[in-house]
Amino acid sequence: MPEKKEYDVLIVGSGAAGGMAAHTLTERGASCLMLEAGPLPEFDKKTAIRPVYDLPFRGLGDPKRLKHVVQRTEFNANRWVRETDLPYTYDPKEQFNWVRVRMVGGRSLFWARMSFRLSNYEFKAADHDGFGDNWPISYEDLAPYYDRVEEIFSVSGVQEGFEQLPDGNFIADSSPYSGSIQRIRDAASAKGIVSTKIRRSLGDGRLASSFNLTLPRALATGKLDIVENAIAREVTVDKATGLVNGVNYVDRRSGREIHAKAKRVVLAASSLETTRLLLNSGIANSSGVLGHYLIDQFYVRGGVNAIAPEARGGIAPRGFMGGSGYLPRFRNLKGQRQAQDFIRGYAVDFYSGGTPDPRYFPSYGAQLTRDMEEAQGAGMRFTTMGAVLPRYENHMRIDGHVVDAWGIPVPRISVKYSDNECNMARDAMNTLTQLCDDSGFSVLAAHD
Amino acid sequence: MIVPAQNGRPGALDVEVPEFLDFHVSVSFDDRQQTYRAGLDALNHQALLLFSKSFAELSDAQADQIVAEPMRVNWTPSPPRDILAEFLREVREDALAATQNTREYSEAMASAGVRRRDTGLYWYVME
Repeated sequence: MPEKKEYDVLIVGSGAAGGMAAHTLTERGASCLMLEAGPLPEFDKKTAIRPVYDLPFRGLGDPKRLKHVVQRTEFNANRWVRETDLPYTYDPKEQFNWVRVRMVGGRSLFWARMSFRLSNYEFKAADHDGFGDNWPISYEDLAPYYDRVEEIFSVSGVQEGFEQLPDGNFIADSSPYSGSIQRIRDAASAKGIVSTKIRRSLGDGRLASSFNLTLPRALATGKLDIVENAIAREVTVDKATGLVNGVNYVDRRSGREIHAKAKRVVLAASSLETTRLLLNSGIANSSGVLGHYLIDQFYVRGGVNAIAPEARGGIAPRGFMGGSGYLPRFRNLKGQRQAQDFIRGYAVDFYSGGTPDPRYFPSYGAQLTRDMEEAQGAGMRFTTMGAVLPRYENHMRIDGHVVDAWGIPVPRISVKYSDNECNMARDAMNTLTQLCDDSGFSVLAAHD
Repeated sequence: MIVPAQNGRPGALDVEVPEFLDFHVSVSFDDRQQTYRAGLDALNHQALLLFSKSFAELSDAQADQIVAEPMRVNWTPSPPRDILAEFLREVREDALAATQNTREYSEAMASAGVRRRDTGLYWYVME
């Protein structure tokens, strides 16, 4: 029984970080115990191809589930955590969307696989623009680790030599750009904006997850035990030494409380769950900073949607539609005129093909059907990913009044975007609209 | 009117979309129920004002006069400020999906030789 044994390292979480920790530690001979709050995914038993009309809500989904999961569909609703079991709180004026998966593999089972390196524009941002603090490490410190991860995850990409998007240990992506993607690249280039292929983890083709890439390697050493359905409640501390000595967890199915012992503990339960666990344990917060400076990148998904006129009616020249491209950060780089109303920058991924969502057409009835048929296969869509400034006031703390289904106090989250993020997003929408115009594409809708 | 039958494909009424949405909205969060309630009230208000009838009693041409303008509003990320425009935007999207995601619609498309992508990987409840 895992609870009877003392491990070298206990790892909380089996996602991207937990899987890599288990792989690295077991490879070096450490005995590891991993606690995962959810079950095995069991793809063969838990998934099936079904027609949308067989679903109870005609694909619109159960309307009272998953208010915060923007990726939800009726097909995938059951793979996210039940928000009624695992609530969190926020000021109603500041809705915070938190997407969670509790399964072996965690969120690494469900991601877009975009695999980019950060650069010293991020690690040493304060040196560049004077805001906030530098990271205590530099890109050069991290580069050898990127090399190792890219090998395991089989990252494809094109070596470009961009300072803001360092090259990596890539499987060469030699696929040609489609005509429509090349048109955007040319319009960008005319404005001094560089572009490349999206860098993507290929994994084994089917998955690029800890579930199929790092955990099997760790298990093969015989040094890793995984306990499923083990919900960490608190990290425990040896009162005599002041050092951590294990984790108290709840068995999800029976509700039984169990203590697991280890010499070291790695918390790899996601940024927010890890912070919640530390705050609930009352440790690692002598600075009082724990939970503050909460940041993510902001997304404007489908921020600009356009139509390629050459592809209207579903008839495009061969090789014109399809594929994707990527604009690495192009604002506020060294040697450039700096933007007037924001610091830092954003990147953009863009895709060619498919039909724009009906919501973007200002018509209805028979006219909407005609509009949709006309635009079939002619869509171009752009998503912006922008830097968010670290601010002390953006934080999570423990809500003193609400507990989850296992009696564990939940987070209360307070995050607001500042003018910097809003101005950056506006610059992105204006720039992308201009690139579409310059490429001869008609913009259907753009975020304001 | 929003999703009419055409080219051999069923319209919203053929596949009982009003009944389905009535159920779906009734089990939704309050904010969605409020959008629908306020939108339907606004439709009836306009119908009474212009034609002295409830919206359900109007001819298609009369109904068009009320919905055409708010439905031609270009899409924006935030919902329109106008209650009627907000409701119509939501109901148009819901009605279209609830019509197309039916066996009848898929079969009609298949008969016309159009292969509709109407399957997906479904996840069962994790226990």
